Amino acid sequence: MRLKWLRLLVPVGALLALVFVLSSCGGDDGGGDGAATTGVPEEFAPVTAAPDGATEGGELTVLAAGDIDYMDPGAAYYTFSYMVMQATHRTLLSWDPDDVEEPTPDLAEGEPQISEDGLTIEFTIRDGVRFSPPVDREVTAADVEYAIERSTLPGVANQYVATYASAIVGYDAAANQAADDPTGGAPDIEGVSAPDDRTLRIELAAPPKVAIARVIAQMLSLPVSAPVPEEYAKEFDAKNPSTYGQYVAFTGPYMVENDSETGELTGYTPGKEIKLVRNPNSDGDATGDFRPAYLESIEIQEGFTDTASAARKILSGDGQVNGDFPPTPAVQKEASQEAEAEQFQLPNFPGYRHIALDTQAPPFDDINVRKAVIANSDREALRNTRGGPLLGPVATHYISPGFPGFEESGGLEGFGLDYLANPNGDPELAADYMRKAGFESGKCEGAECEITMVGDNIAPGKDTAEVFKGQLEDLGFKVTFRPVDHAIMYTRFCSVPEQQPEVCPNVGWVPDFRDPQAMLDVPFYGPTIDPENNSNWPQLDVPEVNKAIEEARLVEDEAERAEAWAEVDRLVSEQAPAVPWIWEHYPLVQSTDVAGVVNLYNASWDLAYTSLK
Amino acid sequence: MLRYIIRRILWSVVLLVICSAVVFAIFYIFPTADPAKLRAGRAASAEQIELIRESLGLDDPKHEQFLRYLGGVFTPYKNEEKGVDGPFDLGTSFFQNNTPVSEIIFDRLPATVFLVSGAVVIWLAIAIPVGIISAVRQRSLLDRATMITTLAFISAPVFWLGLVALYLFAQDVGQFPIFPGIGSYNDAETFTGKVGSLILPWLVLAAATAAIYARYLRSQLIDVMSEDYIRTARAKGLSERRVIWRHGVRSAITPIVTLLGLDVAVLLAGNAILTESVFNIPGVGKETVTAIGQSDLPLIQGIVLFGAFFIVIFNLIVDILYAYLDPRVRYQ
Amino acid sequence: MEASDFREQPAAVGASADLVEIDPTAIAARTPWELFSRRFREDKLAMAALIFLVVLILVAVLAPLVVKLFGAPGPDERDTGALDPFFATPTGPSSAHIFGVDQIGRDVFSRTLYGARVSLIVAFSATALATLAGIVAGLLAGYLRGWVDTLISRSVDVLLAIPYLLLATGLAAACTLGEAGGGGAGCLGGLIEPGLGVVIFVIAFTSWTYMARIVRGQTLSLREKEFVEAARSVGASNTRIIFKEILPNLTAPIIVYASILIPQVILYEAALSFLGVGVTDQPSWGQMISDATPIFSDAWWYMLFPGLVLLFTVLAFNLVGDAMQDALNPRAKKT
Repeated sequence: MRLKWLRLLVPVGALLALVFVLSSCGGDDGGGDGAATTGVPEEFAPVTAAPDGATEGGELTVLAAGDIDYMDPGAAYYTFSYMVMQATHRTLLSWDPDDVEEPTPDLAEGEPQISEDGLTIEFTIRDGVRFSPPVDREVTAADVEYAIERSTLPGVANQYVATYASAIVGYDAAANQAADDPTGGAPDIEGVSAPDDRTLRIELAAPPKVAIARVIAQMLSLPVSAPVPEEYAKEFDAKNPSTYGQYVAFTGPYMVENDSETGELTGYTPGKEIKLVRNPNSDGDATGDFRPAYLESIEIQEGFTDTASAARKILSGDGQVNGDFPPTPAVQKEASQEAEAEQFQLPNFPGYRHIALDTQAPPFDDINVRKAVIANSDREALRNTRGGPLLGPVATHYISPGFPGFEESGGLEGFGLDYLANPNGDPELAADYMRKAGFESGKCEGAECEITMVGDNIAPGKDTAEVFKGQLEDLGFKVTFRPVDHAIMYTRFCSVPEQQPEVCPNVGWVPDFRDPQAMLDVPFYGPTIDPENNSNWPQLDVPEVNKAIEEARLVEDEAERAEAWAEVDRLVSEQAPAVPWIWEHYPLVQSTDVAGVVNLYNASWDLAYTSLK
Repeated sequence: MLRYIIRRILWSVVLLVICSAVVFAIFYIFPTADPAKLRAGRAASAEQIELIRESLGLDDPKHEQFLRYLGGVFTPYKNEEKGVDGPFDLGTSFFQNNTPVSEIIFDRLPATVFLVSGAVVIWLAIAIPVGIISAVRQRSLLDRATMITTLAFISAPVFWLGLVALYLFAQDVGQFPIFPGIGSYNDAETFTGKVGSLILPWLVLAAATAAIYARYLRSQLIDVMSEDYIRTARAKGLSERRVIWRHGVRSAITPIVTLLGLDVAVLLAGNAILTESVFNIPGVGKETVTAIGQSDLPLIQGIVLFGAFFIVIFNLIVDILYAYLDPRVRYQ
Repeated sequence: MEASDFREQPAAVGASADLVEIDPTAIAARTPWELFSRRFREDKLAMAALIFLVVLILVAVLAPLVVKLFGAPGPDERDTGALDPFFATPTGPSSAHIFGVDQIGRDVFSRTLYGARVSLIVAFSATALATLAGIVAGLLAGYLRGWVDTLISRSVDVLLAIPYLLLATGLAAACTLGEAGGGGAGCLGGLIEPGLGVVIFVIAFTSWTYMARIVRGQTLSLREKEFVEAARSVGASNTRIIFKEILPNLTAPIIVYASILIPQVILYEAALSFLGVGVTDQPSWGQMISDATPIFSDAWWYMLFPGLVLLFTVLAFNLVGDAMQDALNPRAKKT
């Protein structure tokens, strides 16, 4: 199974990753809202429901620093992109802003039916859902089948389906076929079929595992399950890269403004603006769309690289919310002290930020050196680079607050490991560990202590990197810091083991599903180390950890599963592969006349629920 | 005259070809980065990178790649799907949905042109009177003060001047909130709104150049005023005002035209990058910053080449203008 | 004649107006060092500027000592106590930090002092490199003429036609991409290291052209002078003529132009740092202003102080350069 990485943080401090907070379909009533467990003051708790009698109409302006990654739902993968996808597409399952415990059936009539043997998954597609102009026809199961099949095309550049789908019959063969002939159209996946217009059937290869079937069903709440009309998209998909992103057909309550003849998106200028208007073919309630869609139109303006003034503009302006960037600490301070109620909200963002130490090469191949670095690290100072205590607790392990397995891992306290005990760092303990590693003076000495760090070139990532650089230097390391663009940091350095620097200070992980497996499997499972798109940044490959992960994957019972993954968390934390430093809250701001609704699924504004006062 | 013009035009074309070669060489040969990987971006598999390498023809000999690039520069591009065409084909951006580079440039150009043209008006409006007064009142207290002030403006980094100006005068964060601040260009929807939003950037961009022109005009004027024909004019009993204006300023200001042509060309070519960054004006310079952040080589390359085009054309115009004004040049 | 955006054009102005008129032989004949220094010292403002620069150079060299003298923390020391306890925003000037702190608690005063190092190192070495390249190219073109001259002059034309700030920014960025973490990055197959090396190279690469033009012009006229003819007639080698006869007579214009180049290079370096492609492993003024940009409206001290020092430094170099030009070339005296 090929695993892909996700990332946090974009250029200009915006948040990049799409948050996968899938719950298992079997139902899960546990957990609670993140705010309660991580201590966000009541006044900044996110609002997750529209007010009674919310006003219809009006235009909302979303200010953004950067652009979405892809307009093509088969490829979109950033939190910010997902904000647009959620308002413009109907996926098989999707997310009610208030209910992150499990996905809500959307294009599907009801929950997916997983056969008892775990070998087939069936969805029933709703009647009467229609594509936006110029396609104008009713959606059938074949459109979802095509959407999944085209995701194998290199020209579509989907980054996550392959991670889960190799259990589907014929998936790998189709993926290979697409790779060999990238312009030959979407290959047929044997195990994905539409026996009739209303039924989508997915067949899995033996041996069956119910846990695996559930994961695949959950994946279909991601934008890839948004229907794509084959007869219309075919010609775009015959190109590599596909140009469907410029001609997308929509099924959601909103659509990007387009040319009604050709379907070309006239309302999307990359890097400048995205103009969303009502989709004339969306029937809302009549076709079971649970989103109220109060707004008449939404204008997303991009390029606000000066995020401080953009955030201030939102706070003092009319009809505005922030898109992909958090307000700077100074603005957070102002907003929390001076703004009106609900103008400043802090939803809980699942996942963690950690500083990866390359465990495969000196000096960090020595566990004691790693422990020394963690012990020495003032993680509160690291956290301060993104804001103060309000921005979230200092992490003490990996599974984040509110997630299954968090309490089992010791909650905020963690496992009581000495080197993670003091959030302000413990230089003496660090010196002890350095001595254990054979450095008599308690400081790193010699050629192997000359290390390279590749991190962000702009705040706040750059600040984090510089603070950590100082902390390493206190411990005797000689650090060469190379600041680069965030995307470059991943694609050319930290995610390419061959080019890996000793320290990657600006990585982070957002889980793929609301399941502890998604927190730990990809980032710490040895066999997933990938030569091109590695997400196991510390390159941790410890048999004991690998074995525990393999076992924990197959555990079906909720409670046992949480325990099993908490155990993995402990084993990973004991290996000291990285410095976990924050479980983050994501700051959102809105104008006084906006009744914003936060979708806890991706900790951002839900455009289809937000209204103007 | 015609022969001179033809010669100059031919040389300009040659110059552009050489510029393309140099730009191509600089961006494809100097750095060690692999363009295929850059285009592939995140999450690319080895196979995808190979495909891209093939489709970009990166394995072809360098000179073939160059000829292909050059061919593009001198042929109009047609995007049949979108029904757009333009004078050059500079390839497509690595990012931004593979949008053609020339389309991106033409989209960003108006903001830059607006910014630069306003700044030109302001710097001339400041430099000419200041230069003349300083020259006329040479060595007076006013002159000395002016010379120091202008030197200070010349010495101030434009991006810092921009920040200070915003800190003092921007409507949102300024101590004396008078003018629209950062990003107001994007917000402004009407022409007057855009003009208002550009007042601070215009002043900031014009400051250093105004100072340079004022000093230059002053020294030219002082030189001219000591020429024999000025003395003759004075001896003839013409009024001082008339001597200065009719004889002095007229000849002192001519060389400024050359400077002006080239300065405008360079600014249009993207040297307004710092001002555009500070004030968040979506012009060509700002686009370069984005492109550099994403290592979008075709876009950077295209913008640089496009800038060279501006400079060459403006040089040509200035030369021809000069040849027209001063016949001696033609026979050199 | 470029760059109105971030630096002045005295290069162009000088080239077309003043410098060309310098008659080097005339200066050489009647301008010994004394004459020059007497004229220079008459300019009080320039003397003040010179003193400022000497102090600045001393401060840069002795930065650790100066910082200690003022009782300020080191440039990389982070004082978390100086950040807002709840929002971690930086605080302004206080007795502990006279210029305030930056967003991670580092002392702006001591970083500003250390910033002088990068500015001055880049200023002097890039100017030296550009001057050297300009002299060599100009001498070759002017002395040998023929196809060498054509080649060099045309290359200069080409380089002048490329918008140098964009070129430099693009080049510096491209050179920082590199392959591996650490090794392999840089330009020309790793010959030029990222960081200071790239910055100096890029600035010199885009700044030698005017010097080359000036030297070429002067050489062209010098090689026709009688004393050169005389040397040639007694059988002096080309090398000898270049080094013994021509080069000494070029000293004045070279010094004048180099002195004009220095402040431009400082602004150039600051601009590259501001755009994020400059020196990153030590504090520099441009980089500090760049870091201050996102928070300039809240932490005014962070953008103000490095900017002011940068302004004064460039101003001082400009004043000294002007005064030197006047002292060497009284005919073009400006004030």
